[in-house]
Amino acid sequence: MTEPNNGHSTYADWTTQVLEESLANFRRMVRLPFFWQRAQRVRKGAMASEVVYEEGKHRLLHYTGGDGARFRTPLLFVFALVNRPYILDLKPGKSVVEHFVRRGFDTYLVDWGVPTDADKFLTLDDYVNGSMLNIIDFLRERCDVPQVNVLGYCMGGTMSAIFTALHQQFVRNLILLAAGIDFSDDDSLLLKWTKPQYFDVDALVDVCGNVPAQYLQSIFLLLKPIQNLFEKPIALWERMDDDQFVDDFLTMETWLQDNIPVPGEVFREFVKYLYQQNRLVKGQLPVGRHTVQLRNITCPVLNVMARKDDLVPCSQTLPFNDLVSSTDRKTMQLDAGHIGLAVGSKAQTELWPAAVDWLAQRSEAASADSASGPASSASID
Amino acid sequence: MSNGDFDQMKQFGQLWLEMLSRSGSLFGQMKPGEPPPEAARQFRGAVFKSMADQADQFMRSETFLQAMKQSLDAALNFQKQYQTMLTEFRHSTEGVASTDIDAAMTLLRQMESRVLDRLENLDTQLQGIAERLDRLETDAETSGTKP
Repeated sequence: MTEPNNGHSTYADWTTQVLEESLANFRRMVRLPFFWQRAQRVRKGAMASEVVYEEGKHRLLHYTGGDGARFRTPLLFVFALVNRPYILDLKPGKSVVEHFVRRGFDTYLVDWGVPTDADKFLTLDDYVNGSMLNIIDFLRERCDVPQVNVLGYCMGGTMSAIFTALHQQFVRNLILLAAGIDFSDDDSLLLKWTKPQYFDVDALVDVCGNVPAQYLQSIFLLLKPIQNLFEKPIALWERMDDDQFVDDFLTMETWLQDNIPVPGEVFREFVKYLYQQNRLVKGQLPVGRHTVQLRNITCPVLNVMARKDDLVPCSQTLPFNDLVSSTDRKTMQLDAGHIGLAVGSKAQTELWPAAVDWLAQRSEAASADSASGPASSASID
Repeated sequence: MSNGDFDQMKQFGQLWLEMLSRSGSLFGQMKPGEPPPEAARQFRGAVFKSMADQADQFMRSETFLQAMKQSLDAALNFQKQYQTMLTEFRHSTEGVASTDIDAAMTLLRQMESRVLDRLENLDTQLQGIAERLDRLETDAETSGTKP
């Protein structure tokens, strides 16, 4: 038998709730000074790594945390030029790299470094046909393999697709993660903002050289202003006494605020050729002396995207599989945002185990004598 | 009153109307036993949702796009004037300005691309010669004579 809900008990419940909320607010207030201390101590990266190759500011990291390579072909992560790459290895339990390393993939990550004014003339050609090609040449020699597996995230995904189209012979399997390919969809906010009549990319690059990190940061913030400026701080305040939440929040925010400038010429090419002219899908994207034809891609392709991605919506990534000549191609969609694709809990429990399986099924097992992995390193300045 | 002003007022009114209608429907669903903090949270969620939708709509509007263009153009113009002033000052004191370094860098990159193009041509030529030599050797082996 349930008690009748009279006015007295309702009033008592309300009073208790208000009191509890006031006490919770007090507890949060007490924790506030320690919050700043914790923010200073945020640890970046989960897996142990070593630098095995350097070319100017670009470094190649090798993850050493696994029990030795169980697959012969190494896996190379290529990240965007906009942020730091440690989002792919954020913290234990939220690391894409960890999934592959634990499964036995010899895993590497390209860290593009922070460009200075001297790098403002670097073009897509320098990155794709220069550094990426050199890194993959180095990996092929180091691991004594003809091909490598490539996983590109965001802008790094677009660069990986361009690289594979130009140098298919060196790529065994290609995984794209929220990679912008087709920019014909008019509904994206970024596409609207970068329309030639509203955004003069030439003027920006000519005056600024490299595109400042603060400018890019403010653009990303503006994509969801209410969520970023109001809802996020309130959510933090309400869960200030939840240690796990605060820890995740600080790690994430540290990465989000850790923007780096983008080399001016690459930015110009990206905005002009991709966002404004959509040349990649038309087979008209010039990269150095070459023109990129996505139909040259014949290797197995896994195209991963997030349904709630406001930065690279599915409409920009989905058409990729229809533009390549590969017969083995798969699409995976996750109910997450752009960053959630890498660090979200659903991505960790559902997406990445499936993606690792996909790659494992298409990889050759390493022979017993090479399982301990290679040890050489090199550097070009 | 111009059409632009009217549109802005209309949008502003729409924002408030939407917020009020969402809050109204929320209050309608609320149970008397529900505690105030939870009710306040729901109300706040509804307000933020309305604001987010309106902000998204506004950021796609011609007004916002034009304002964004104008503010970026103004900032770039200011930066350009400042750079010109600094360049003139450095040149007048026989110093090196960033534009001089840029010009040297451009020159270097042009030279680099010319050298690379030439190397690529040489590479193609060498590959052609190697292929011809291989063919000659194969022909000689099959016909039993030394090249």
